[in-house]
Amino acid sequence: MAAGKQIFISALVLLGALGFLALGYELPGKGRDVPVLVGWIAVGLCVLDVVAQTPTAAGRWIAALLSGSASGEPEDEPRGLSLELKSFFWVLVACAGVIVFGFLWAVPVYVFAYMTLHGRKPVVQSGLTALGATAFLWIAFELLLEYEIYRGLLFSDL
Amino acid sequence: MILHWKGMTMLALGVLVGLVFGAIPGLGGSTAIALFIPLTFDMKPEEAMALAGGIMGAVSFGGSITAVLLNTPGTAPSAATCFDGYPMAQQGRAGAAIGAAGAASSVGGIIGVLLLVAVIPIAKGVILAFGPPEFFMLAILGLAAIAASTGGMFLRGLIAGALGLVLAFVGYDSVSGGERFMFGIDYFWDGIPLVPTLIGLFAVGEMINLSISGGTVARTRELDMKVSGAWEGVVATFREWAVVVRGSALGAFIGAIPGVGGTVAGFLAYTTAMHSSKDPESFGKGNIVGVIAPEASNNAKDGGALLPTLAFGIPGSAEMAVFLGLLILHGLEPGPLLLIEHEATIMSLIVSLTISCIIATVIGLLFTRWLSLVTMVDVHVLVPVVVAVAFMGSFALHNKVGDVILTAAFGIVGYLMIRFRYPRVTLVIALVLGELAERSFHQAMNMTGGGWSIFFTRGISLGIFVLIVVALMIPALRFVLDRRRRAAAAGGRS
Repeated sequence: MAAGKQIFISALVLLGALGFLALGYELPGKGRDVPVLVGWIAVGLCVLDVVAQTPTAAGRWIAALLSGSASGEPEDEPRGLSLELKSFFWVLVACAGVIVFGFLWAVPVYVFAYMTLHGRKPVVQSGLTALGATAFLWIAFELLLEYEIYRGLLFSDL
Repeated sequence: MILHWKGMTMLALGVLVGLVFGAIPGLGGSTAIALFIPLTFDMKPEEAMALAGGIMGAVSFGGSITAVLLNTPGTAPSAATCFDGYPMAQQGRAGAAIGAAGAASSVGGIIGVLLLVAVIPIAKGVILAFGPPEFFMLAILGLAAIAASTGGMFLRGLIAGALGLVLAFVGYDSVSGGERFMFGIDYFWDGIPLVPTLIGLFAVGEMINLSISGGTVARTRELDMKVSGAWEGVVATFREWAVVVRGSALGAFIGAIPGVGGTVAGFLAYTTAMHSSKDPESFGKGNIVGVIAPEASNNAKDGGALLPTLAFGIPGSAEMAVFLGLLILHGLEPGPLLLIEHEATIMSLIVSLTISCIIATVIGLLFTRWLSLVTMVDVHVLVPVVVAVAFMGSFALHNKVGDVILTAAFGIVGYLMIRFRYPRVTLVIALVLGELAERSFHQAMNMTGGGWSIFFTRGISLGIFVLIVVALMIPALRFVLDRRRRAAAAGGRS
């Protein structure tokens, strides 16, 4: 992975650790003790991680020592950002669909849409898989286990 | 209870699920248990243990089938099986390889369970000697050991562990009597729920990863091999009984050490068998002993791994961490009293694990080709179905939409952790251990009025502290050894 991206990620996590530490100090009484301790440890580890990503002698030494290998970190396979964002989008769409329309509507639409639009699968195969997945959920949860499948904000009182 | 029809049905279902999930790389036992936890909500604890035991006992053999037939280990511990299993398949001896893998898995699993049963009475006595300082140190040891075992990701393993502890602090704090890190969201009153988090991190995160990588799960399409002749492999396993016993003992011992894991057990058993063989050059070219040794070790490790999980509430692997989620769901609080107060339920699990080892072999041998076909499923068919099941499972736990949202969020977090090499297993274990660690810390502080000396003046606690230091030094030791090895190799070439 490009060194710049790695440093960016490590720095982002360090910011998160600092934010957590700041929030930890605002806690009252004994509830603060362990979070603050963990916060300081996290900040220290994140600083080490940031240094380990830099192309400096100290960085290379820390990276090698703490990875246990003298040859350094293995190369990552490149991944397209747009493909990753699309994959996140599909998960979030499925989640939103379930919340608004319920499982019995959202699942077949999501499975069909994912397979045809993202997976480029034939329409018939996608339709059959979508119906099969929905049928499986209905049979397994509502029929056999007697759970009431969530009907969604539009179609239920929940 | 386990011999009742419901218990046996759950066991059989667990075996089938374990075989299928074990065969599909990227899924495995932790995803299987995470996905099926919600289905056990209305079951008796013994039935849930039967399901879990079935999954745990079968998943290893499922991974071995694809390791032999497709050179694609379904689970990481099955990787060593590829070395000789796949060459055997290429030589037309796939049936013998799978028969040997199945028989060795069965026997290894049974030996692992027997060792667990033998050690439990001793463990009970040891547990009673542990107090709050010891449990705090054990929690830290569990985290350090797991982080040290994550290959080249030690530092990020510790960071992921810290993140897990951060998540464990969310919610109502019984020590101070106030809420922490809830940001006004009542959903977090009881903390970050464990099971939706597990489902998100492992099932959904893995599906996002597969969605991006695309293709089929197996990277080869070689399924034309004959799989007859399994009986030859079974006979060979019993002929090589010394290899089986040694591999099983290694697997059970390594499984009992938190963080070391099945992959190490398999490889260690393989190399030990190779070095003690009269014909070490034949390893890697289709020597059946190269299949028997890691397989015996892989299944034996489950029995060993259950010991720290059940006795101390310290999960030694992602699968054990997820299994703890199942225990918590059924009101079985992991920790020192689990073995003492719920012995019958734990015995159900042990019996299930034993029986599942045998059933998995029989079913696996009968459905070998079908199981391999599972890996040919296109990921773009697998992904949406598993995501839908994951969301349904999360919701079914407590009928809360918030659980679905949490699963989706942790699915993305899980993928990002895979992408940027932050081990998920340390986060999960920290999330499980966080409450125990904090509670034990405060109890220990109360024992001494706030002094830290209690952690270093009690013998067991000090001993565990030494182990923590050793665990933290493992990556540095590996680095030194690796550098010496490279220098020696470079010196040899010049």
